[in-house]
Amino acid sequence: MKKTIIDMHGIVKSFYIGTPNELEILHGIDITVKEGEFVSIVGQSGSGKSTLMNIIGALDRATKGSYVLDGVPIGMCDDKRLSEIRNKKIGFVFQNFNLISRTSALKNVELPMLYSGVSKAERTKRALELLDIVEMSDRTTHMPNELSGGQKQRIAIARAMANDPSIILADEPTGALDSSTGRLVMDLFHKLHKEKGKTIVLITHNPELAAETDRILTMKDGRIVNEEVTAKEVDAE
Amino acid sequence: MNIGENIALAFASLKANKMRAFLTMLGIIIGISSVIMITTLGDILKASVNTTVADMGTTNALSMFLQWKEGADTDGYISENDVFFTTENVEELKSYFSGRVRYTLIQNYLGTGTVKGKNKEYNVAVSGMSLDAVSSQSTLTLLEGRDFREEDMKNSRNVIIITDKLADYLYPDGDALGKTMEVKVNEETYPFVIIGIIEYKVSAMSSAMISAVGEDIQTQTLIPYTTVNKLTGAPDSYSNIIVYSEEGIDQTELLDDIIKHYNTTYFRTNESVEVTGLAAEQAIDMLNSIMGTVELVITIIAGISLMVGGIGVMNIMLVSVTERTREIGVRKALGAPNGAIRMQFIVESVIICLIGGIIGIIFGVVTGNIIGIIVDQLVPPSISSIIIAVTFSMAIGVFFGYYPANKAAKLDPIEALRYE
Ligand SMILES: Nc1ncnc2c1ncn2[C@@H]1O[C@H](COP(=O)(O)OP(=O)(O)OP(=O)(O)O)[C@@H](O)[C@H]1O
Ligand SMILES: [Mg+2]
Repeated sequence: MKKTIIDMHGIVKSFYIGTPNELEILHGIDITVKEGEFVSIVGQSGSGKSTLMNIIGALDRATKGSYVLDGVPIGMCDDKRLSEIRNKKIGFVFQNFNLISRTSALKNVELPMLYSGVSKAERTKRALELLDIVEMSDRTTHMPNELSGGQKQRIAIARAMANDPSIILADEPTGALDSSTGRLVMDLFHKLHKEKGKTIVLITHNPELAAETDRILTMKDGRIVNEEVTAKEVDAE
Repeated sequence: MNIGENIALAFASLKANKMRAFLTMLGIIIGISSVIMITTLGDILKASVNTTVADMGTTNALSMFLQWKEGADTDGYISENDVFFTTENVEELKSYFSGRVRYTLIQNYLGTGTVKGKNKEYNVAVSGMSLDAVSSQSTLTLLEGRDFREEDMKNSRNVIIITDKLADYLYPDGDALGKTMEVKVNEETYPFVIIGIIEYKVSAMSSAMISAVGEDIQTQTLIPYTTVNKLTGAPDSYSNIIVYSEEGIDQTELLDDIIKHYNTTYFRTNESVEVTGLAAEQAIDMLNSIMGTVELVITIIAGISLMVGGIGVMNIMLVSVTERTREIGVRKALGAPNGAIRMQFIVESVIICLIGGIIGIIFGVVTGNIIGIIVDQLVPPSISSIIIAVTFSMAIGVFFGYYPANKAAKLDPIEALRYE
């Protein structure tokens, strides 16, 4: 029995847009994700996928509900502890890549290690390894503006892997890419999932890509309305 | 994340906006360079005053002069009936204060004139001075010949002491002593026998003037003051004298005593004028206090420009934080704690100020010393003021960088990531 890495119960998220108006976006979400699972979240625009993802990634706090990430009750953590969790346990991949401009591919990949206090030599070594995994070894000194979208996303994935996190959170990572480049990026996630045993949560609008994952959660208006374990997952068990 | 990495980050960010970084530094550069320039100038002035005073030996000089009595009818001139300094009362002063007064100098002036050389005319200034004028004043050094003697004074002889420089011009063979030299002053030509040669000296100020004009303006020549009176028909009365005290005498006290002595002995019945004076010591103190005030004023101006510079830095840092909101969001998502973000921006602001400060120091030292070269008074750069300037510019960086840096640190990661 694999251990539970994401354990959410009754997560509510409200935004205060000027008192007394309170806008509830997530209305009590329950999710459990086991270590090594590849889960996708689908749903129409504005259904709250990104909001949920930010809470999973400890970037945002839930208004109500309990969330235990890899044994750590997130609600109890202060900001400093949250940044540590983001640094060590989570790797973010964004739709718009979010590489730091005027900073080389190598330095971008090194960044999370900079904040976890890895020595310079160790950082560079590890970053080069990761760039090799994402097949970007020949672009280490390139600046983000000298790279294509697909290349940027591969650098971003290498960066997400820097501190060897247990979870990779990807919010529409192929959204800004054409389908063949998107395919390459998706293959990379499969590789990390299979070869490195990473837990991956993927938000996507593409049903074909979602179908490749172990489990599909469908969101609608701040609720999870459907949960589907794909045939592949059944096969495996 | 250590400080070296922060510094590297700061340089990368400054390199991306070189012009902006430089303009931001400008306020700091101006502030720091003016502080350094002022302290260098102050040092130059002090050194210059000190060497001038030292080579004039004037630290124990009292300048005595006449002034109008309070409430006197100042419409008229001082009449001939009024009492002046005279040979007689100055002699009396010397014996009255013997033990405290070493030497008294009566000085008057024949005027400026010219001396004909082989193929050129030389400008000279002809001053009248007392007995033993050369040996009694440490500013004057006799190289050849002799000083004024009793009989020169008594008989108002046409004898003259000239500088070695003038002697070399007029008598390149070195046989100036005993020669008769004709000096033309105010259309009159006077013959003088050269009895002594003194060393030619220039003060810092006049050397600046000489180097500006490119040629010596005039050299000093000395004749007995009694001779000046004889030639001009002026009476034996003078409106000022210089009193040299013995070593270790309290200047202010001596000055008071001399003033009292004069005003009770000679000037009591005088309606319109009285004697007063100034000790060189006091003059130096006055000069120092004026310099202190000037320094203070300029320091305040420099302080204000540093303040304005600091606000400029703060402004640019705020712009930089806003521009890089997304980057801050990404860094936070990747696990940067608030402290690391804050440190990143503070280091950036400190680096701006520090570079500005260093440029300012270099600029200030260079301009200060250019002035030093002009007035021929070099001073070593003051290490303490450089250290203060460096620390101060870093402090400005921290002070004005803290608010923007803290703003960056406190950004909400999600809002920062969403920032367009
Ligand atoms: N800071 C906020 N203040 C107010 N409302 C917000 C805020 N952030 C998100 N929302 C609202 O929450 C809802 C869900 O947004 P979210 O970004 O999670 O949707 P999404 O499912 O990711 O959509 P998409 O597929 O378009 O990315 C939207 O209606 C949005 O307007
Ligand atoms: Mg979204």
